[in-house]
Formats: sequence, C-alpha cells, structure tokens
Amino acid sequence: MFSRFTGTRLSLVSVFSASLSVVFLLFLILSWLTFSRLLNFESILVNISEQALPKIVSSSQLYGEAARLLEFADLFSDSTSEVGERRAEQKLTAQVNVIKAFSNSYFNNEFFETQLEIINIELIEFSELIKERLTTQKKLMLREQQSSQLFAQAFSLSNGTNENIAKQQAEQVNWLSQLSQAMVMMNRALISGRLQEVRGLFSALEEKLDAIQITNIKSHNAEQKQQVIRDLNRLLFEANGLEALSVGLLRLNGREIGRKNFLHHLIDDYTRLLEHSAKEIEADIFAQTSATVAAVKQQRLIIGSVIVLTLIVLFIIIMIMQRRVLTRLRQISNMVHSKTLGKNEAVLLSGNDEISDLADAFTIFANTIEIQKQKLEHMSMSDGLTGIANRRALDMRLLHDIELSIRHKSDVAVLLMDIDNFKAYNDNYGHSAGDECLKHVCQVVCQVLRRDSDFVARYGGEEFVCIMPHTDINGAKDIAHKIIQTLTDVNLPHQFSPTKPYVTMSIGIAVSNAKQVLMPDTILNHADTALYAAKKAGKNRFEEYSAPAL
Amino acid sequence: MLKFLVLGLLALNILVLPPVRAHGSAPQESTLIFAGNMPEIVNTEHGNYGNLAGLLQRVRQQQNHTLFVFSGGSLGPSQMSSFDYGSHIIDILNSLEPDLMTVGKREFSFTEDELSLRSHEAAFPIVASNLYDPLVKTNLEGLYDSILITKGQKKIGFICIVASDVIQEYLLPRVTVLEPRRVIERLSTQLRQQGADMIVLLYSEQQDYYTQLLDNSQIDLAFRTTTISDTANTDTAIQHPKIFALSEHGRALQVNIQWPQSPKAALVVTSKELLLRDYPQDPGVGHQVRQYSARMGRLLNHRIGSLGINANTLRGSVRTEENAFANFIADAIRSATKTDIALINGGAIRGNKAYLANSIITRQIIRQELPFRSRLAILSLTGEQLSEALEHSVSAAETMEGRFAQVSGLTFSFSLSAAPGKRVTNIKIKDQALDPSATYTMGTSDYLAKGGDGYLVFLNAKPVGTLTSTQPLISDIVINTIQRQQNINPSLDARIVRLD
Repeated sequence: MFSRFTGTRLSLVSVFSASLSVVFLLFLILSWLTFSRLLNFESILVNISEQALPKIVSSSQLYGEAARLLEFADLFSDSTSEVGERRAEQKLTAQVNVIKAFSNSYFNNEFFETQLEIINIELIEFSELIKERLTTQKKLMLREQQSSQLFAQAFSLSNGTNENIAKQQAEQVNWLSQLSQAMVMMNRALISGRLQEVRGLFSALEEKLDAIQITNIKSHNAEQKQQVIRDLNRLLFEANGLEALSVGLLRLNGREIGRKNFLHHLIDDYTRLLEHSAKEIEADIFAQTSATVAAVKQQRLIIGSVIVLTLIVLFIIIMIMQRRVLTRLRQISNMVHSKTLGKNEAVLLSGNDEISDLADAFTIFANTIEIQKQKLEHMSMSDGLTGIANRRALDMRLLHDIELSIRHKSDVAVLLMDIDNFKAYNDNYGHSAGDECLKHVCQVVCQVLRRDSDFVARYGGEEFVCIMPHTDINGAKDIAHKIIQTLTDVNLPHQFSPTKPYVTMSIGIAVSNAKQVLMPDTILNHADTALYAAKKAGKNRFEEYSAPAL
Repeated sequence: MLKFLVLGLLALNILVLPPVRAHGSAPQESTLIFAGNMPEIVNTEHGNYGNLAGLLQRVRQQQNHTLFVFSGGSLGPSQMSSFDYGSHIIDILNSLEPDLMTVGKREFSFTEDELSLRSHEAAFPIVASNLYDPLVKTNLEGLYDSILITKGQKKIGFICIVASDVIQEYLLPRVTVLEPRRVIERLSTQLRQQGADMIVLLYSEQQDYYTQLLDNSQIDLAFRTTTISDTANTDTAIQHPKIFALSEHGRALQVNIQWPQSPKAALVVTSKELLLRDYPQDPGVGHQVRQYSARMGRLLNHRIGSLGINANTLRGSVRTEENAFANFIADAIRSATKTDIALINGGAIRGNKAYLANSIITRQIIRQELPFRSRLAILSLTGEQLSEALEHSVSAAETMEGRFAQVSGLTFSFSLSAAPGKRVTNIKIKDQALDPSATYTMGTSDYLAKGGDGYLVFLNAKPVGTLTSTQPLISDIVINTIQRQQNINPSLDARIVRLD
C-alpha cells in the first residue's frame, strides 16, 4: 500500500517561483554591485587621471615656477644699468603673472593670492629702490668726475709771477700737499663702507678745505684757488653733494641688500607653502587612492561574498529541487514501475504539493486497478452460482496443498461430493430451484468445514470437492459423515428422489499422505472412484477409496 | 628697591677715573650715546627709532665728537623681523648712523648666517668679539672682532662679549662662543697697540672678573647691554662705578667723557639716562618707520578669520597650563603634519594678550603670537621619550619658562608637588594609555626638534621626512588653517590637567 506524510501545503509553483526569484534577485544584486563598483572605480580613475594627477603636476610646476622667482629677483638686484634693470623687471613681472595664473587655476587659495600680491608689491618697490640706487650711483659718479676735474684744475693752478721764488715754491708745495691730502680723504670716504667713517672723513675733509682757504688767501691767484675750493666745498657738501650721495648710496645699498634678502625670504616662504600644499594635495590624492583601493578590496569581498552566497543559494535550490522534485519524481517513477511489475511495495512520499497530489492520484488509481484485478481474479477463480471456488481454483489449491503436505509430510484429504438424483430435482422443480438447491448444499458443506484451511469448490454440475489439509482418513470420514448428517438435518425436500424424500449427497473420500503421496489428478480420480462406490452402494453415504484388488 | 638705587646712581653719574693714556694735548670731550634692545620699530609707549634719531641729532649738534653705540638685541623677534630677519632694523640704523652695533643674543634669532647677511646690509660695523665660526676659522663673516673708533683726536676701542648661553638658547649649529677673559685681554692689548685711548667692553652676561679687568685698566668702561629691569628678577649683577647699564627699555644713556688735558689729569666720565619719548621724532627716520609700519600693515593687516569666543595667550597661561589658543595651534600642527600627536613649547607663543570673542584675526596677530620663524618638524619617538619630554615640559612651570608643552592628540595630568621625573601621569594617546615601547609620530617645531628649550630628548628621536628645507612656517600653517575655518573657537578639553 502507499502512504505519505502530509503537512502544510507548499506548492511546487511557489517553491519554483521563490527559488527563481531568489536566483534572479541575487543575480540582480551581483550585477548591480559589479556594475556600480565598476562605475565608481571608473569615476575614481577618471578623477585621478583628469584632475588629481594634473593637479599634482601643476602644483609641482607652480612650485618650480615660484622657485624661479628667486633667480629673477637675483638677476634684478644684480643689474648695474637701467636697461638691465628694466629687462629683469619685465621678466620678473611676467614670471609673477605666470604664477598668478597658475595659482588661481589650481589652488584658489586666498592666502596664496595675497602672498603673491604682496610679493608683487615688494618687487615693484624693490624695482624702485634699484632705480633709486642706480640714479644715486650715476649722480655720485658724475660728482666724482666733477670733483676729479676740480682737483685737476686746482692742481694746475700755478703761483704765477711771485717774485719770491722760495716763498712761492713753499706755498705751491703746501697748496699741492693740502690738495693731495684732501683728495686722499675724499677717496677714502668714497670707498669706505662705514657711515661714521664716511662722515668722519668728510668732516675732516671739510676742515681741511677750510684750512686751505685760510692759508692761501694772500696768494696771487688766491681768487682762483678760493673759487676752486668753494666749488669743491659745494660739490662735496651741498644738499646733493658727494657726502650726501655717498651716505645715501651706502644706505640704499644696505636697504637693497635687506630688501633682496627679505624678498628671498618672502618668496622662499611662499614656495615652501606651495610645496607644502602640493604635498598635501599629493598626500590627499594618495590617501584617496588608498581609500579607493581599500574600498575596491572591500567591494571585491562583498561581490565575492555575494557570489559565494549565490552559489550556496543555487546549491540549496538545486538540492531542494533534487529533494522535492527529482527524487520524488523518481519515487513516483519507481512506484509506477513497481506497479507495472506487479509488485506491491509501500512507497513513502512526503510533502504536500503537486507531486504528492500526483502520487496520491496514482495510488488511488493503482488501488482501483488492484481492487478490480482482485475482483477479476476472484471472478475467474469462483463459481458464479454458489460463490465458492471453481474448478480452476480447485486445481491450483489442490496442487498447492499437496505440495505443502509433501513438505510437511502431512495428510491431505479430498472429499468428492455429488448430489443424489439431482437431474430429477432439476426436471421436477425447475432449474432455478435446482440452482437454489445447489446454493443450499454449498452452504451446508461450508458450514460443516470450519477450518480456514479447508477448501470447498464446485467441481462441476452438482459435484463439489472439499480439500482438507492435515486431515487423515478418519478426519475425512468424520467430516463426510457430518455433511451427510447435516443434509439430513437440513432436510431440503426432494419428492422425486428415490433415495430419500429430501436432498442427499454421496461422498467419495481419497487421502494423500506421506506414505502414499497422490498428485491432484490421482487423488481426484481416487475420490471419484470412491464416489462411484458410494453411489453404487445406495447413495446418501460416503465411501473411502480403496485400491482395486489386483 | 635695588632697581631704584641703581636708577638713582645712573640717572646722573659723575665719575672721576684715573688717567688714561692720551694722544695729543688738545682738551677734548667725547659723548657716547648708548641704546639698544629695540626690536619693535613702532613703540609709542617708550619712544621709538624716530625719537632716538631726534635724540642723536640733538646730541650730535651739541657735541662734536659723539659716538653712537647701538647695543643690539633688536634684530628679532618681532613681526617685521619674522618676515625680513631684521633687515628693517639695519636699514633704520643705517639712517641713525651708529658708530657700531654690538651683537646681543636676539641677533641670533634667525641663525648666525642671517646675522652675517645683515652685517653686509649695515653701513656700520657690527662687533662680536668672542665668536668662532669653524667654517671660516675666525669670527662670523661680516662681523668685527673689535673696533677702534676715531673721534677727533681720540680713539676708542670696543670689545663686545656675546653671552655663552646663546648657543643653547638659539640652537646655533655651527658657531662657538669663546671664553671671554682671554679674548678681552688679547683684544685689549691689540687695541692699545693700535693707539686706543680708551677701551670699552660691552656684555650681556656678567663675569666676576670684569671688575678686576676694570680695576686693572685693561678695560676702561663697561656697558651691560641688557637692562636692569630685564634682569631684575635674577640680578646678581656686580655694581661697579665703571659699569653702565640702562635701567629699562625706551631709554638711552648719554655718557660724557672729558679727556684729561695732561697725562696725569683724571678722566671724568658723567652719565645720564634720557627718555626717548622726550625727544621729537626725526622726520626722516619717522618717515622711514612709518613706511615700514605701512609695509608691515600691507604684509600683515589682512583679515584671515575671526574668533568665536574669548581666548588669550597670556604668558602666565601658555607657560603653565592648557591654553585654548595653544590647543588650536597644536591642533593645526598635528593636522598639517598628519601625525599622532603634536607638541609646541608655550614659549613659542609670544603675544601675551587677551582676545575678546568676535575679534577679527589678522595675519599680524598670528605673526605677533608666533614671531619666531619656526618651521614644522616631524619626529618619530617612543612612548618613553614622550613621557620624558612631558616631564621636562612641566619641570619649570613654576618659573613660567617657555618649555611648557602645549599639545594635541594626547592628554596628561601633572602635579608639581610630585618628585621630579614623576610629575606627569595618566598620559593617553587616542584614549589609550601611553605605551612606553610604542612608536608615535609627533608634529612640532624645528626649534624643539633640534633640542631647543632643553628638549634634549628630541635629539634622540628619529626625524621623519626632511627637517631642513621643505617644511613651511608654523605661523603660515596656523594662518592657513584659520583662513580655511574662517571662524575659530579654540577651546579647552582637559588635555592637560594640573592635579595640585
């Protein structure tokens, strides 16, 4: 028989739909993850290649350009002519503009802009300072030339026609000596780098010139000499004189060096800050890239996990399918196959779904067939009138019981019964009554045979056969006697019987035992022989088979 | 009390000194103007370079032979010098035409090479007698060992002794300071041989034997270049009639020397202290100062942001306790260096000011606060080294020395009553207790990285990256940070806790 466990209904359609949905969803997630990460990665790569790397390169370039400012500033301050100064200034201004453009486009940092603006203003002022120094230098050179000319003129002044030659010579020597001393003082002052020394020397020079004027006042060309001295005095000490110019130039030189150093520091600070910013940008980009690499690694992990998960889910789904569908289909197939082979194996099919429905339907269908088959078999093995076994069934049973008795070394008794004068009954009472009579007799026989192992079959017409395993001759006689007696007791009327006024029966008994095993045909023949003997002996009796005397 | 006594003595000091060797017989008088320690060019309270120029002009008009000795101490630190390393001071001095300038400790604010560069800008001699530069095997380039100034008939020699602690204080990598006594004796002899009528010694660090040298007439006069008020707390200065010093800033000393008329006559030296602000500004120098101020304004008067809350950089705060403004600076350093922690000495923050909420922050303010041109430095050090550094940091908190550390990225507690070496406790980095054997990266200043302010432990730490040329100024980093944030709210977050 088939049986199955039932539970909550889980439709295969739902299982399939859910499984496919899960697979589809996982596929979607996986595709989305991969695609979005790829897009993200692409955008990062684009960012690095189109923005970050150019920014690094540009910031480095900017740093380089700013560092070049120092070279130009040096060139600027080293210029010794106005042309050189102008050209250096042009280069410097151009360079500042280059940096400004660079800085604006890449940093957009207010601090850098202000710093660059300051550098620019400082450069402009530095340029003015250089111009002032060059102008002062020019003026100083002019004054120096003028003073040289004046000294030359003074040296050339002779003493003319003084009659006292000795005195004249002495005066001339004195004049020249004083002039020489003054000139040496002036030259010392002009080459001195120390303000106070310059001041001291010019102060001494002033005194010296005053002294020259006083001592030579009575000379014959005193007027000329005094004029030269006055000119020298003016040249040296007036507001824009040599002293003022020398002092001014010393100050300007100092200021220029200071400014140059200052500019150096300013540019240096600026470039270092640029470099720092460039490095910061670089570090940021590296950090960003590292973060991206980390993110990609993580995403790779996520995608990997999703793939593994998908595979696991797919495996589980396949397992479920295998378990819930394929295995069970195979079970059904086996079931069907088994049925077709005529086997009647119990198949356990769990679940509550279409397959279990199919299995149930098939089971019901198979059961129906089985019942019908049993019915057919029963019909083919039984007698249609009396419902007891027919001749075919008798043959099978007799063979089976005899074989069994051979194995068990036991006895099998066969009673062959025939209703006495049944033709007269049929003829007089009609066939229907005859059939009824047969049924009654059959009931009587069945009633007497109480053991399950005993077997009754209609042998033909009004003949019946009993097969009684494990029954010896005495047992058989006993049963035969009971049958005859019961018929007597039942007293089925038979007015037309010459034997008795009721239905009687003659019985032939044959027994197969270990000593003499009789095969079906033989035992039936023996029983038939005994029956014949009973008939012959007057009917309504039984006779056992006895072997004919030789 | 001592201060007033000295002031009284110096206010009008008349000395009759033993005869010095005289050249020539003409009766002469020389005047010596002594001033210095003027790092700020605009000082309305005490008077400035314009007033000094006015004073000089008046004295020079009155006295024929006037010497102007500028005692240095002015090239740094100041806002302007943080840009030009003191060039503007030299430029102004060029207008004041000193006979010489001596070298004080502050002249080394921007390394010895910068001082050499300044000497080339100066149209006057800069004197330092006891320096030795192994690179040129003599004095620093551009500096004079001594100077002999001739005024009229008289020659006055000047010897200037630089204080020995300048090496440590300003972390001079190359130059060495020679022991003064031998230097003075040698130079004094040389100057006498060159015909010096008088030898003047200038110094900032007192030596016991100076009185002996004065008494032996190896030197004739001595000037201490630091003011009495500057050294009042630790003053053990010897008093000597031939030693002169300014009582406080904003003053100049006028010393009149009456040369003896005969070899046996005595030299008479009188001195009086002049208040700079009493003198009218010299228009030329005043203009120059204004130009520099304007230039400074141009450089610095840029609004870079604003302050959201009250804050201060008072000396008593930044050198003894956690300070919100210092926190901001330390945080900016840590952010710029991308290190685990940052540490800066309180002494680097010089503003000594209180700021009200909603104050505008200009570049000038930051340059005032961080006038030293310190650059970023990155060190890699162990927890043990850091712990040692923090111990050093609090070791002189009571005397408010600049070494007190202001930090970022770490917290610690300290107790001054604990034994030295055990004052700092509960050091945490990123909320984790300090691991003595772990290595941390630290952003700081190049000054501290080179062992400045006594942080010798940092000399054993490993520098990260280059310390030398590529790092920007800390002040620029702070300015940049403020500019980015616009409105800053420096706050205290108990990163430094004083337990007693």
